[in-house]
Amino acid sequence: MTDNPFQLSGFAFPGGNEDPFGMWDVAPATSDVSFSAGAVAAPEEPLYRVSFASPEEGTAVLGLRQRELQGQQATLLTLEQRLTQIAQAGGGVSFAAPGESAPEFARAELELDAALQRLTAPVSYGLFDRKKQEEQAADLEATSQWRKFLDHVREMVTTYARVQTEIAGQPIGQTAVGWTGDFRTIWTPAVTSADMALHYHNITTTLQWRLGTMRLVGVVGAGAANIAVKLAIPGGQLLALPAVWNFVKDVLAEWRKVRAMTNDQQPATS
Amino acid sequence: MADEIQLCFNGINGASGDYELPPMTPKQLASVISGEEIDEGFLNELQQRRQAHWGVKEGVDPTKIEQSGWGIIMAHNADPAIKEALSELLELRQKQAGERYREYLGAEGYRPGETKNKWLARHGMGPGPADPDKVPYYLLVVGDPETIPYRFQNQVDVQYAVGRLHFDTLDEYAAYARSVVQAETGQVKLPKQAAFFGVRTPNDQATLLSADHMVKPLSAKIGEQAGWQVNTWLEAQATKANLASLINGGKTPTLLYTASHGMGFPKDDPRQLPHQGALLCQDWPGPGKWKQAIPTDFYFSADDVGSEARLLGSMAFFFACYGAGTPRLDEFAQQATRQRAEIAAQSFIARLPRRLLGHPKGGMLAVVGHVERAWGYSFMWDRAGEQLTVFESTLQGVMGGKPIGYALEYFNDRYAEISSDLTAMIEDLNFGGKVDEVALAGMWTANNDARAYVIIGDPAVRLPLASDGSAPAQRPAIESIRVSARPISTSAPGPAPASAAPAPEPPAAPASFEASSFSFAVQEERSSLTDSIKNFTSQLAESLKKAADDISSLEVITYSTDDLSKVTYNYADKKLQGELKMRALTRIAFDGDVQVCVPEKEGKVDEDLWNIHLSMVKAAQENRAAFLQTMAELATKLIGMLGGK
Repeated sequence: MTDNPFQLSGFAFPGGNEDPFGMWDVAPATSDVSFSAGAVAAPEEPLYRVSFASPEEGTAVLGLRQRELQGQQATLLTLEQRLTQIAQAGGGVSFAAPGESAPEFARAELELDAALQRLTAPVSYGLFDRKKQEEQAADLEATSQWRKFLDHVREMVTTYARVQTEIAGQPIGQTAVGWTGDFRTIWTPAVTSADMALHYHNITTTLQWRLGTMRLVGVVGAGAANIAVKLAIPGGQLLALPAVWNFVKDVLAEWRKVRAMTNDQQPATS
Repeated sequence: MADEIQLCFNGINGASGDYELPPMTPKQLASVISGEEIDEGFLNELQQRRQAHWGVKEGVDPTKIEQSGWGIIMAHNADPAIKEALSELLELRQKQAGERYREYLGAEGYRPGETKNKWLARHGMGPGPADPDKVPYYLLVVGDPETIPYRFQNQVDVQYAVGRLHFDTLDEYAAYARSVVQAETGQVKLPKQAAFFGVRTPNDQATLLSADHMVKPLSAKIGEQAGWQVNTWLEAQATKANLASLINGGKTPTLLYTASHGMGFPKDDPRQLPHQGALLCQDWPGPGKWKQAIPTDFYFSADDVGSEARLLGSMAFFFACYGAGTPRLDEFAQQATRQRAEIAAQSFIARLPRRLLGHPKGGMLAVVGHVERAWGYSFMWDRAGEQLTVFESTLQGVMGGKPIGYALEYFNDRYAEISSDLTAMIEDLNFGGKVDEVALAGMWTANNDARAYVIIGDPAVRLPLASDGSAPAQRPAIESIRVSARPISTSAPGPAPASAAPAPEPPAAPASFEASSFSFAVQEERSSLTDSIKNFTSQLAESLKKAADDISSLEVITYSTDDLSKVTYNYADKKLQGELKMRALTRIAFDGDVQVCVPEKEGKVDEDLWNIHLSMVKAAQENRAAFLQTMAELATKLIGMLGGK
């Protein structure tokens, strides 16, 4: 059981199943998603479920999350530029250029540098059959996770999303958002105007998160492709995906940590 | 003027008696050529080769196996009994090449669909000169061309010296291995004797050209090679009986060079496998005088190589269509469909060179021949006339004792040069430029001709010549070898390439088939990921297209229900199901029309619901615009990723 009011099911992130924006606790899909042509069975669509003790608490938490999302999405733009710089940097494998980026980038860049050095080590030139079995198992797992993740993202952006808000364990409203933008909202009878405002707030925050996730996938994909050119390894963009994903995730996590510390140091307001 | 010229090709259809490929004008050929697709990556490499003569890297003597290295490539699932049958040869090469000896078997071997670059990359090599410390310069491909394609062999051959072996029986592999070992361990000392065999059939443009402009001048020039005795069998002497006496009569020349038509048969003709590539001799009366199926009396095939023939240590060069082998698909793409017709049920090596190499009494060491059709154009260049330098240099190299694979590098240089020029011309043609059709046709034929010469046999073999002043020894015969009567299996025992599966336990022994299958699992998962990205990208693109074409309105509906848990969304018809009451609806058409249903409560507008509904409409509008834009950006980035950019 978790205290996080944001629960996302029917979805899976690679590398530990952690939301890179730190908003949702992700429950793994109960089955593999099948996208075979002509499939009739309904896929397990993502359900974004948010549960608060009261509308007041919900408003405060959603406000905080929305501001965090805005900050992280601004950081995503910086990350994209940084990845381009790294890919274009001259020299050998060591891409990190300390001192050129924000503090939250420093440790993540060292990690990225180390990961890329492992990729370009002589023993791993070409494909994987020369690696140790443990490394091969890790490759297999990482690749498999990425395949599932992309299938989920595809599902997320090409079908619809269900967003549900609960107060004190009771659902107050649910909205299905189609990929073309249509909204279908259902309210329960006892819903108040404050409840409705809270659900609306939840929808806009969730949709903002969804757009951010799409942008993040694009940033990681483009970053991996750019770095692959640098690595000059066959299939390098696929090899670099996990490393770039971790880099982006680490920077965003560091951003949240720094922000939390900053907020802690500010005097409390009444 | 150009339309008056008829281009003739070396190849006779044994079933009909006609030419395999009808004579055509340069314009007609140019039209066929423009159906060809260009492998740009490979072309770049050919251009690099053209700019700098490659082969082995600087400082390595390609004539010395201990420096240049030697390796064997088999399919990942090849029958281990083949390696066992070749063991005498492998032991010799291991001894000679030392630390530059490699066996590419099992997980290290050739995998289905693998290109040259992928295969090399797996073994630590990119494009460029051979570095024998990573991958040896001499590479023997063992396997049929259906399993390890000719294309792979041709591509690797650009920078490496590549030969191929494929026999039907283990005994033939063992006999060949022993033949090479005897030839290279001083047990065979052959005289410097070469025979040139040139068919010259009246009214047949192809053999008139090859006899007059290839065999005659080439034999004359080669005859000047120090210490060599060259005999020429031309026109009336170039009969099947005389060729049979050269091969079966106990006086087989050390080097045999023939120029003739090669026999071709339609796909599924029972004679295609045994007789395609057989050498059509002077016995054929010619195109005007013979208009029916070609009888076996006219051509020399594997069936005509006697069991008592003494071939050990010799080499042969067959200038003939299909002389070395036949690909499954026609080299001539059809312009309209860009599809290649099947000319054989499967790619195969011609039976004649296989018989010559795997002979039970000891075989030839190598046969150089042509895969697909051969063209006389390659030794007659536009207005420049005879062009025999490549042939002459190659033969002189072989006669001088160079390894056959290294001696054939002249063909690779020629191929690289012509390919670069040809591609530029084809691109001009495809983009509407004006191209000299005669020049294009010549370039095309020469390119195919140079590319398609292959070595059947170990590329590191060299003629076992008696040294100057010493008397050649009587050509020995090897003892009869019986390895196994069992047929060669098409795949080795062991697990098939694994599908995406949980990671297996690490194997106890290194380089086992388990390791191989595990690698395949990673590869397949990776391939599956690539497919996911492709699917994702295409679905994004499709959705965007649909959005542009089909989305005519934005719809926001508000419902109420007593029990939310009983409401379901039907995925198939995209409708909500359950006890629902519609309370408000807004439909905004793209032409500006707006339809609105306003919620009521006790006869009045339900203000709270209406206000939140309006907020939802605003959110839906903003979300749609941002969503479609982000979708387009994501599709663009993923496409870039697939392109490696």
